[in-house]
Amino acid sequence: MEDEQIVDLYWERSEAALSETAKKYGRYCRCIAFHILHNSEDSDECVNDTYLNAWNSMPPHRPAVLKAFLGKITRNLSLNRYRKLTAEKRGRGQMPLVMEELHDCLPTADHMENVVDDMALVEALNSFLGSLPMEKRKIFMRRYWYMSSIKEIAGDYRLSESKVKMILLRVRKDLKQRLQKEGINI
Amino acid sequence: MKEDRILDLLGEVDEKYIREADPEGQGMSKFFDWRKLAAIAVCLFLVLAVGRIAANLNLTGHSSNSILHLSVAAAELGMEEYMTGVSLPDIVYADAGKVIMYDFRGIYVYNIVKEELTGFSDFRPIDMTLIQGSDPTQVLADKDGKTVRFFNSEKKFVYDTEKNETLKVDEYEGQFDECNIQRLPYGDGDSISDVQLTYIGSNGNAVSLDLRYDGQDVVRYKDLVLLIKDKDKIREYEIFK
Repeated sequence: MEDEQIVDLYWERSEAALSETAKKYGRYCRCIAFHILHNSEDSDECVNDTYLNAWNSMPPHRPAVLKAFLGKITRNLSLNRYRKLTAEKRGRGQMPLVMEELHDCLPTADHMENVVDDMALVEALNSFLGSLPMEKRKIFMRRYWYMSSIKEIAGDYRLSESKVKMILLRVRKDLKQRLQKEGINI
Repeated sequence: MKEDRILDLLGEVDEKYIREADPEGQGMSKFFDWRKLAAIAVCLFLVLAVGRIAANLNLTGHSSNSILHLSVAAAELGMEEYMTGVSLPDIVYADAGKVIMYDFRGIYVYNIVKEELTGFSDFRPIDMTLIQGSDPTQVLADKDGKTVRFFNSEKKFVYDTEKNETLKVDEYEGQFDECNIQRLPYGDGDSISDVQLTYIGSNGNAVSLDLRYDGQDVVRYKDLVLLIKDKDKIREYEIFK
């Protein structure tokens, strides 16, 4: 079924919207959740919550790209659940590594008044991503948006793991320089 | 924490970048590099040629002293526990005689003919155990599997797989022809394991790893099994037993 038809089902409040969403994008959402949570039960719950959130947001929303819309919801829900599990000392998977890698690439604000607002930071991130060559951008997004492991990225892009690590290292360094140059602190 | 904030805000970036990097996307073939394939073919040819010359000159063989010493080490290594979710060893070299792999503990050389671990370079005493993260240890085998270079931004080492010796060096000298072992993408129809990528050794055999455990959170290295597909038969080798 086409995305537009699925969105129409949500707007008509038809429960078939949920089954069609699960059929078409269930695997994609579960993949995102599992990379973050590394646990089948927690991932399935996040995917089910994604459907519920989508049900509650449509209407009024009419997403242009349903897949990315659902992916964003799953990612947010999974990150929130990850934080809860970490507080309970149950977190695992790629997240501790991703957090460590990102920690060092971000400039820190000296004073609270220098902290840039969310919208400006998203704009800076979009501009940075737009400036990257496509291959590097994809690898960066696979690691820090989809939380894929280095091994998976290397396998999918037919690169050595060393090469992937090197690309990520350089892109993180470039991101830090770019943010510093623009006077953006976090 | 700032990394929490950046992770959240990355979630709000332009959807075109999210779609572009979609793991289910079709863009992977754009990365297929024929030059890399040619390099692998050259590597394969050279390894086969060197192997043939060595066989003709009767140069094969290993020191029995090192095997005796390492048999003990293998048994000790096999008892160590680790959590599932920690990466299984990655294979950096494979031919008809040996497989070289590494993980956060170090580099392992497994002799397929003798069915023994004949080499181990320990990362732990030299503080090289971080194989992911911001300054990871990178591990590169040469095209005939005789030496392995491993390094991070601060330290450089060379591991001689035949002498089973690890040397710290200030700079790498001489030419180093890296063996770019071919790896099949996840889910490829020719994969022989569900838990580790499948690699293609220089002799064309598929090589991978599997775990033989009962679903507990903690598994031991002795549960690791090396899989080698020769023609249509998959052979299993219990590396750490």
